[in-house]
Amino acid sequence: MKKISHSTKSTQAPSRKPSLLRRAGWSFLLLFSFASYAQQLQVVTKSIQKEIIYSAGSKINLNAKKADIIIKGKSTDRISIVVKLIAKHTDRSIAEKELSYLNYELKNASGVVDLSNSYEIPKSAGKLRSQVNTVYEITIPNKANLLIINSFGNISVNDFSGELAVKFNFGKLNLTDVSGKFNIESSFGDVYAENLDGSFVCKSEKAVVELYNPSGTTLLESKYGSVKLNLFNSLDKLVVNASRSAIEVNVRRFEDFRFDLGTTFSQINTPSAYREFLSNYNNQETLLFDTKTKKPLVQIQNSYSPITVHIDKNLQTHK
Amino acid sequence: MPKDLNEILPEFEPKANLWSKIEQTLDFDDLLEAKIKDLPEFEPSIEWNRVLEEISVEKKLKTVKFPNFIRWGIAASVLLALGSVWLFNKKSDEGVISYSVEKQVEIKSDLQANVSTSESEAEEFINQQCEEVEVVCMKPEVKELRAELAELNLNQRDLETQIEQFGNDPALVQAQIKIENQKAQITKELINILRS
Repeated sequence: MKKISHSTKSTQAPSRKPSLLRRAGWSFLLLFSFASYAQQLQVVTKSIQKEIIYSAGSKINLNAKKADIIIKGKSTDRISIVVKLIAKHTDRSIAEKELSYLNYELKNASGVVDLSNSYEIPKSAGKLRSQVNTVYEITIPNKANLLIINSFGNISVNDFSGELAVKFNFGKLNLTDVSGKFNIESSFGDVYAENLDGSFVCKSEKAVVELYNPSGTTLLESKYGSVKLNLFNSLDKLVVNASRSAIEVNVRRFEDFRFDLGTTFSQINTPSAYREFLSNYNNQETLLFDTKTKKPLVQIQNSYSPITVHIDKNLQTHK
Repeated sequence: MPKDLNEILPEFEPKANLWSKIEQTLDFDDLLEAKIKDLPEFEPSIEWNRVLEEISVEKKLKTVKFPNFIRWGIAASVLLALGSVWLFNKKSDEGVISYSVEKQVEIKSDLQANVSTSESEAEEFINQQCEEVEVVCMKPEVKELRAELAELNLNQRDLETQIEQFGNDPALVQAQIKIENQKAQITKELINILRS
């Protein structure tokens, strides 16, 4: 018996030391994680998933407020919707409480799908303490007719072919690999469109608009902003009516296009080899370059801000 | 009931050797009985207990394990089906709540305080110039820029009410910066014109 008890002691003794060390280590880790926990934002997310069968020709209206919107086109007959209502605060219970002020609504009647979100902050709550946000992740059938209204958030539309209208304030709109009919209205909201095909109309104020490889016909109206155009010969026609917007045009070869450029109370900057096509009359500088062959037409009118044409031999499409 | 059974029942004549055949069979039985007693006895090599055990195990396997497995399976699938229906319903009505953590990014809100003083100075300068040199401010360009500046001030006020509700939200602070930059640009342009 004695021998046995001795042997058990001797087996326990060496394991006690590391356990103490381990305990110390754990408590350090706990303290450390507690310290970092205090600086971390607790993110509470409420996710809602819906699926609707889309009948051809019906309209989808997304009336969003302060939301990030991700749209993806797909050859399907269903609209898949994920709405995420998010509240962030260092104190989880505050985030949880304020998450209840976030709402969404989905209506599907008489050929119209209406999706919207709102922030209903009770007057007694005063100023929100959490950062709140709504995220939409929507897959829509190609050929759909979609209207998006948003403010203070980012919108991205990818691989979509159909009809899209967007009205937004602030934030950014990203369009990639899209075709069809587009009608964009932006105030303070930047627009970036890459590989777009079809008819594209964009009216923007106080916004940065950049197009990369637009095909088809494009009409831009810009006020108090800037416009950057990266053009390739897949373009059909591009018209820009701008005021007080710096305009930059990048092309691989000048001769790939016909140019009809003009700006009042400002100047046109062009590579020296093409300066001969410039003329100035009555505070209006113009550049007319006609290849006499069927080339894409670039027509830009501006005021109080310059138009600059760059030749970049390395300019390539990102397809 | 017929009076004479002999009239209805068929007549039957037994074969002549019947009795001798019966006697032979009885004799064989007696012989067999006598001979069996002389037969040697053998102990069977099979252990009956083991056989019985095997049978009972087999029976157990058959009767307990297999049907229970099915029974549990059915029960589980029913539960699963009910559960998923419940979950699905819950999902579509209430949504699913999930938790995560994110590193906090400081949002500085001192923008307004810094900008507004120089801004109001600039606006004061513009207003003053327009009062002193009215002709300059009659220029369409100046009119347009001043209208734009007034609109930006409106935008800014709208945004301030939003910030009052949502606090220093990153998207709203970004919007605020954008308006400030725009205002700065317009103000600069205006001052340039008024000075020249």
